[in-house]
Amino acid sequence: MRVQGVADLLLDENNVAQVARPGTSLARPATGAAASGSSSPAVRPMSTAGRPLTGFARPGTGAARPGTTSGGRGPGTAAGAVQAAMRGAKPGTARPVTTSGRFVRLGTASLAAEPGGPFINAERLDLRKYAARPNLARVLCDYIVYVDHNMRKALELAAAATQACGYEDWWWKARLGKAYYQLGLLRDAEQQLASSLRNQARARGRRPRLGAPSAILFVGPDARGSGVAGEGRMTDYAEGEGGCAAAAGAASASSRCRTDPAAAAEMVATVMELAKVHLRLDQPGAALSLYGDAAPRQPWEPGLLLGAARVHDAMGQGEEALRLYQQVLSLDASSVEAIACLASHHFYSGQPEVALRYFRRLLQMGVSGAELWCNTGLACFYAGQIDMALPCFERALAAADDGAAPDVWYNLSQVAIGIGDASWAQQCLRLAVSLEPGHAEAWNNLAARSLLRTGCARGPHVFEAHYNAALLAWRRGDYQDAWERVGAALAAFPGHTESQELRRLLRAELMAL
Amino acid sequence: MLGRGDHQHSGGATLQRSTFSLQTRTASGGGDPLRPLWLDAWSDPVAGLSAFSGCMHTCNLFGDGDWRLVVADADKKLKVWKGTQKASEHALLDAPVALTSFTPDGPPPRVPVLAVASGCHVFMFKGLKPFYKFALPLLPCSGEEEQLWQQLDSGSLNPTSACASLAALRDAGMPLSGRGAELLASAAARGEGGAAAFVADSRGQPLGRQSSITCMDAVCQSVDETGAPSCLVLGTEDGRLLILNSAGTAVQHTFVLGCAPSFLALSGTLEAGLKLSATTRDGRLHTLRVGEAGVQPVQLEAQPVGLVRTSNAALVGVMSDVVHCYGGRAGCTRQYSLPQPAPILCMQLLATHTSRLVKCLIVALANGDVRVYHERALVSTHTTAAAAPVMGLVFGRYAREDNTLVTLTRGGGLDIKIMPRTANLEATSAHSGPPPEQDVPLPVPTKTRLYVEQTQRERESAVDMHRLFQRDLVKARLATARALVRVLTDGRGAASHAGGANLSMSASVEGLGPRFRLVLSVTNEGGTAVGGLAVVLRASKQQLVVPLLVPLLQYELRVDIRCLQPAGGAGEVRLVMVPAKGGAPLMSALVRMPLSEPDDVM
Amino acid sequence: MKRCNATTATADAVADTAAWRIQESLRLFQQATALNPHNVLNLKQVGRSLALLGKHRQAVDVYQEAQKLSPDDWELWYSRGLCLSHLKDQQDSALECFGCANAIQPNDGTYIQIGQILAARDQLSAAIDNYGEALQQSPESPELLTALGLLLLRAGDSQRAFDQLGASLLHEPRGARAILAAGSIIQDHGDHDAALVKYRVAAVVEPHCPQLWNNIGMAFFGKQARRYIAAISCLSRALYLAPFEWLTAHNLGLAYLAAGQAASAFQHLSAAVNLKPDFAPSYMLLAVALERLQDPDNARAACERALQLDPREPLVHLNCAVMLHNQGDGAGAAARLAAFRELSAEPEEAARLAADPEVEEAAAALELALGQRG
Repeated sequence: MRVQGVADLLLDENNVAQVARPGTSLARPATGAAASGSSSPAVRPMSTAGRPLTGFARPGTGAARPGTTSGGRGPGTAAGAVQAAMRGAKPGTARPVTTSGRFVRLGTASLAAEPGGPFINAERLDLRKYAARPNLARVLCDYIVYVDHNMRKALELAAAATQACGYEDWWWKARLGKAYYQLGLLRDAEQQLASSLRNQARARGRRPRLGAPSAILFVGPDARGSGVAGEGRMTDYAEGEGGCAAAAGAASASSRCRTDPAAAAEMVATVMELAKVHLRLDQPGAALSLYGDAAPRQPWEPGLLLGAARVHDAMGQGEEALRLYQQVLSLDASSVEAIACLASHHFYSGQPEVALRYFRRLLQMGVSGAELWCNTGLACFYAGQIDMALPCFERALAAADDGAAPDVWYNLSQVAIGIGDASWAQQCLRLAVSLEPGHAEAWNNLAARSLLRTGCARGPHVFEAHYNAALLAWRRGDYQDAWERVGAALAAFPGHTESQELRRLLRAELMAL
Repeated sequence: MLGRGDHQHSGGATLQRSTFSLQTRTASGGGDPLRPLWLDAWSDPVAGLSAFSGCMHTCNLFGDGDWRLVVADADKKLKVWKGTQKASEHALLDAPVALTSFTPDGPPPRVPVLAVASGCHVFMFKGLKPFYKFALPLLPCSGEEEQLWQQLDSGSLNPTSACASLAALRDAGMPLSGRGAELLASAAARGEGGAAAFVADSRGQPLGRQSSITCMDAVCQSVDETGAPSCLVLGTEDGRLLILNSAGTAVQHTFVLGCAPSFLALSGTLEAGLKLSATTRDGRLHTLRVGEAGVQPVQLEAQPVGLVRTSNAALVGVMSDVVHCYGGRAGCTRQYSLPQPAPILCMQLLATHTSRLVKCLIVALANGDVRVYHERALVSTHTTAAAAPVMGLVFGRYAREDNTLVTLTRGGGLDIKIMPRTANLEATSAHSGPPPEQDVPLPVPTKTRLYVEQTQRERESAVDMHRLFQRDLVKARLATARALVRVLTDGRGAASHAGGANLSMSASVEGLGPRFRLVLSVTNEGGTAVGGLAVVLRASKQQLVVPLLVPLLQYELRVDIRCLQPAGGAGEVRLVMVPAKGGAPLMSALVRMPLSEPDDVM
Repeated sequence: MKRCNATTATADAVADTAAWRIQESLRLFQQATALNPHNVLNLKQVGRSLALLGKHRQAVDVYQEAQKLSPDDWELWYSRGLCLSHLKDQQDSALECFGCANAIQPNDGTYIQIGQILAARDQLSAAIDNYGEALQQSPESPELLTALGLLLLRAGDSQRAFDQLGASLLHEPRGARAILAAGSIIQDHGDHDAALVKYRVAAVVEPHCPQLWNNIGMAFFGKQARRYIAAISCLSRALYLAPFEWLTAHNLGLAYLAAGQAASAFQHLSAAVNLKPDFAPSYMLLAVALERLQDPDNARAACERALQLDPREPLVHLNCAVMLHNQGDGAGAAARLAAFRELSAEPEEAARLAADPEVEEAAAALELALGQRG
């Protein structure tokens, strides 16, 4: 899932249901029963949409979709939704307006850097002529898709070629599906990809033809594992585009395919693309059933399980996701995403020693970065290995850039609070807020009244800030202010018993004669 | 019509008893007090009725034994339901306030008369045809006002000064008569001429104050039975309770409450032990008996929302989500309270007309629950369809069934439930033991073997771990302090403590590009105002003058910039805050600009 | 006509208040009062709106105005008392107003307010009497029963406190505060299993309450089977939820010490003394931990501090004696042991210490060891 542009979010015509039933839409993850144990906002930081903020950051799931949070606060909603859409996943960044435009620019930007002009000018090609030569057409299509990013031309070529081979070739249908997806014609993409899958199933037992080489042609950004930070603000494992993982998956699938050709029915790449389309259409159930269908036929493929686990995570079904991550680990012992998610789950369920073991594994694998060192340090501290905690933090600080440093300082302040040194904790928190003025949790912990106001404004998901402000207002006797703040706190975390209690007291004050 | 739940209904029109034999679920309610007590008879979610409990009533309109439901709807119509269909609709002259029926004294068979109260009149219908209109008697106005009018009529006082004295009387708190109020209004509207014209027009009209009806009920005269002769009881806006005579033509008894009654409930009969309970708008509960002096009313702690009387107690629901029971000789002692989990919407009395006369309380809550209490025990609870809040409840006979609960929900739905004869209302107190959560074992966080191994390691090398940790702690504290000083004084961060000031700033981007707007918000967290600052943009060398920064206010500065090379990717812009006269930077913010939208895409 | 406008204004204002738009409702009530100055209800509402906005002094003035018109209205006395109680220097007048309100019409809310003010001033017996009177009016109010129980607990009368809390739980079996208090009394009397059963209900009602997990942890710690790991995990959870609770940190340090993990114990005990520098047992335990971590100088310093803070506590003397003996200071140990014997001879201390057989064992062992040295 890539980051969606502003226009794609706000002017989305592909929503199936305006008000989806709980548990069937990515916009409304299932809450209630799931808000216990490690997925409760009282234990683990959650965003306003109910998804955990810490863990593994994937593009597209950072910020909540606008319009799902406040819901009907009056005339301000429309403007609020646009502003929310413009806000990017990380504070201080903005979303791109559209995603297809971005690809065009990426394409032209890379070409502009080359001397001598473009290699192939797709605009001037006679696509019909090339469609008749299947092998050349395939390579050309891949070039246009992956290097030129000119989806319209690729679509034309693929359409011509599909026609030329009588609508039987799964490869062209898969490319058609990809082109439609990039252009935003999701229903057509779904159709093409599903039809491609059916063709693949019919071609059971035959070796995949040019699918494997063309998948290797694409060298996309690698999964740059850069560590996961600790409690409070777990930041990114930046994930490459889904295609990259799919490419790796396809390569591995095709390599395993040679050992057992009868069993491998579909290309994992196509399955994952179709699942991506389903998720874009906000149909997580369809994506899950697709994964569930394809997984038994590809028992050695961790990519499908990983995709399914991500969907479960996005829907707030943490337990299911964990089970799948463990299966992924048993298949692929170096899957960074699975290790990170399992580690953060164990950390928040009160088993920091297991989390520590996972983080150590990541370090041994060679993944390193400020976030990972910070997480390891926190896990050491909470697991009782206090002698190793602070050196990890030292390394984290050394490796931290401006983006990760505030979180490292914030987590160091947690260590300081753990040993009871309030002044040191305050220094760390001040460092965190001076490096990043929008760090809501740090403002909350500094807990001065004016600072709480900033905290509330900057971090609407941090329910503690709202609750603290409400409590202070109540003690002052300003019930109006307290009522508004406790409403905001309950909007962020409806199950917070102290906020409910405060609201009950305020209501009693109002109802008394 | 729409059926409910899993019960089979014939598509026919009338509410047949035979359909209920198909239902195998009998709600005996005996050992398990929380089993539903009611059988669903019929429901219509789009009946289009909108009325409160006071405007709903079931009565034997035509004397044929087939009781009908009469609803005085808010759109000034009287709707009559027979069985499962609306039988007829009649227009009312005015918005209805209350609806009930009473049986005038006379030879049997006695047909009940339907009474609709609106404004200051009670409209009585016999067999759904208008029968009589009772008007509240005028209240006498005060002596001073009478004198004024006498003087006005005789001409010894001119209208202007009359208006002035009337206004003075009103400001002193004396209620004026209708004529006096109109005089003041016409004087305000049309000046002296209007006042004089009004005085001329209204000469000779009766002088008095018209009150209006707030609530209404019916009380039996001698025998507490259906069909026995009964009289109407009215509550008026000026704080009185009036009991009419059996024919409904004149006032028999009057009680003075002092404030307008909001709810009315009675028990007993007129001739033997009538007890009236009334709640007034100022939050008091009055208990009255015929012929006795009134006792001190009970002050409730919140506004009342419902009132029900059993033989010797009054049950009041208040806005703080509690039902209190007041009993005792004078009706003032609080016997028990029933806290509710949600705000109370309606309350109604459940008096079974079967073997034993058992009186229970029905409470409808805002979360859609409808609970039945017998004394202090909760007998049953059920939820309305879609948890819709209940607007009005009535319990009584309907369509040959003795114990029916008719519910109107918000949205216009009508729901009819029947209580079977075998229902046991006298369940003992539900849970005397510990609550069921006690069986859930404690969710103690589990520890793994890994943990146990690590504790072993600690036990073995505790001394070393301790020493290492303390040493690292000192180093870490030093590093933190150094970093803090550096960040705060060298102006690289987004907060500054230089010069004793306490400032912070953050930046965000607006716009689609290539023209952007940077919004910089600056806050002064310190105690004194800070001035003489400017913000410099490193990219474009623009300079913004920062106004005087008053503590605790947030300032927003806007600067427009333009991306010169939209196709070249995104860049960064650094904003630095410096003293206007020059010097070391105080703080800076780095903004990562987004990609500009190319003009041809948009 | 003007009165009609006043009524409409009042109706709008009430609607605004119910929707928590207090500023607008205040404006409308003030309008209504301007039109109809003698209406006590309007004045009351103006006062209440001001109070809800936090402007307590102005509200008090308005209530005084209203009281001129209607001197016998208990609500005016109550509301005035409420506003005065928010003003720090007016607590006595607040109590007077509440007393007048109760004289006219007794009300649960008034008693609770009086109780809160008295409890905040540490006038515990007066507060207890107040709640006793309140319970005569409404004997089944779980709120009053819980408040009285907590006060009695604070005053030290745990038997009566337990009765009151039990009565409160009878009427409201899911009251978390009552469960916690009742459970802690049960634990004090040594029946940890019963306390754990009681805490189950609270764990379902309020699963993230730090005090609950603290109590559960200590219940596990106190059981005969000494389930240290369970105790430590519960206490860690409590500390995670509320990092500034010094008592939880102290308990966790104690648990770690008993489990033999001196480094973690030291860390948490130092947190405890940072958070509450005047609690002697923390220093005592800190001394023990330091001694096990082979830091004798600091251990001795901690001992001194503990003795300084609470010289009458026999356990401090005993632990110091053990520590000094381990460091080889026989004379000092003997002196401390003698002090311990003297203090534990007092009747109430003897009763308390008799409950823990380990104390006597440790004292006897120390005597034996010292006797060997001569």
